Amino acid sequence: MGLSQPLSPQTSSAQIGAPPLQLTSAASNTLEAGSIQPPTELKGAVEQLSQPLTIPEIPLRSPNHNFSDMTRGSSWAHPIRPLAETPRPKFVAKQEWEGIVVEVAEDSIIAVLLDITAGDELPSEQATFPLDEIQEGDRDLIKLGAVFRWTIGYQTLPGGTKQRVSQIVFRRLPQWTGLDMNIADKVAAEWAHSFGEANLNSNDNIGANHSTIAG
Amino acid sequence: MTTSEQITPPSPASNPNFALGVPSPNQIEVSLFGPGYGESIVFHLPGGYWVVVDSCVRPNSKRSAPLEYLELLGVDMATRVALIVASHWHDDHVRGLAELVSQCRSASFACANALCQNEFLTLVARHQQQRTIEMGSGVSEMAATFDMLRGRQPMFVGPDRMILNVDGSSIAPNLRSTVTTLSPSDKQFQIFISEIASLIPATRATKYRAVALRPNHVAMALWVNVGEDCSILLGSDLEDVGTDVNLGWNAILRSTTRPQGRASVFKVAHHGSRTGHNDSVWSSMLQGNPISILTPFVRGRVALPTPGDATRIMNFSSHAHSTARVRQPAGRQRSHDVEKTIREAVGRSLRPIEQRFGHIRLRKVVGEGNDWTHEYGGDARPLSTVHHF
Repeated sequence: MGLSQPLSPQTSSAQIGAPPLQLTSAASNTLEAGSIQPPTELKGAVEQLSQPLTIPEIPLRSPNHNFSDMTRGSSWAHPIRPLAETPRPKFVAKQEWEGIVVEVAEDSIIAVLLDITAGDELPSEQATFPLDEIQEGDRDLIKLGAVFRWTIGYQTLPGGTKQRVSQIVFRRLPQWTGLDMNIADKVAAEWAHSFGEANLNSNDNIGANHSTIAG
Repeated sequence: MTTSEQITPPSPASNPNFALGVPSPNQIEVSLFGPGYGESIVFHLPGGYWVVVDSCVRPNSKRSAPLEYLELLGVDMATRVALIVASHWHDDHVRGLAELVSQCRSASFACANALCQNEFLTLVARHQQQRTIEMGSGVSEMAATFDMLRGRQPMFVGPDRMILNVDGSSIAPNLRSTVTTLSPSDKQFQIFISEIASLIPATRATKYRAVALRPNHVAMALWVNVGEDCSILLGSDLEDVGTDVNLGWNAILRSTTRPQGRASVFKVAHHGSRTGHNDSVWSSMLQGNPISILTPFVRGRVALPTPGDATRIMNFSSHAHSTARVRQPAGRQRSHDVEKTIREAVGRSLRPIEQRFGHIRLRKVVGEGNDWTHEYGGDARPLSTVHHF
């Protein structure tokens, strides 16, 4: 298959005002050489293939970069309108924690809290959260070890009203994938191999005997 | 017993006079650190060798407390630390463990045999595949430690196994120091393996932070023997589970192969809790009125030791010490509006997790009976004042 008209230096993936590209089927050339005759039922298709293929011009970008030109008169493109400016509440966080659920009771959870705002590396505080503080949609995520973000800040509504907000959002963490498992299981096997016994299933000693140190 | 009690000294890190007293070669030292975030024990054996059991981090420096202490003493950690033990894998006992193993290059390493089984290694490795949670856990520290242990022949052991034997004949004729495991029992090994298997993350499970199993079936209690006249019992977080004689302290008490004798110092099990208590341990494994030391624990609704626990332990002991108070008097200061919102959301200010840090140091000269001295660093105090603010 070859291009009947080579791409000019100005032609690119964003061609502007270029004539339609014409492609010629290499298959038809082969058939015209008479080496192979197609079956009768395929003759119509072969004749079609022997015609130059024409790809209609696709206006990727108008010469003057006018957005409306791109969509006007095109059968494939749907009109795209810019989004209307809708006022949204603005939120400024003043304090943020990462929480880990360590206890689940009937009407509350207990969590240890890592102060993200202070840049802590270890949890330094804990709190008991009534279930009422947890959004309905998050409650099925509550379990030991579940992770959430607790943010306190100010929300400014479109009308200018400013209010203090406390927001707890349970994180929908990604799932363990098959690739995760393969990598992890390889690491586990390497550890087991390194420690000398991969498949010992008893409470015997493994590894070196006790260390004896001469005084 | 003589004492050199210092009621309110600063922590060893800020008080070099406390920390610079390196024990002489013929001295035994038992140092207990915590809680900050966890607990750790360091002991010195005659002949100049050190053993570290567990690791916790100091709140201010965020570094391994035993590592900082040994650095402060000027101990050559590459050669003089003979043994590191991870008594179990909960994050309050392993923080900073990987750094410790890395620095103590010639130290042997020991932990419960259950922790080298495929089930546990797989659990640790799979949890390592999620790195989207800010807060680390005990499994991430164990993973880093396992990486450090490649090629170092760690010991994964069951009960009643001698894991260290130090010849101290250069100090005194026939002096020998040994460290022997007492737990976990064979039945606890089996329970742990079946329980941990159910916690291994499966494909397409939503990621979460690994949480500790309760009760703890892989706590490794240790028996330290120094010469003829000195034994120390380190209770780890070992608990009794019901009345099953094959679990917890009951299994140790039934053992015919454990070291015999009575200890004069007891690191009280499981922060002094009732579940870590067994009357027969006090009557048959400890001398009458031993010295008891412990670290407190505050998490969730649990605050240990309770006032009742403290009273019980004091009644059994000649001297009882805690590394810190149980409750902390003040939390972190925040702006008025944030504090107000916190109180609206959770009904009160946030409760600090144990942040005060303390150090109890016991020392005695080998062969001189029960003449232990004790010193306090940081928030350490008599157990009788553990609930004072």
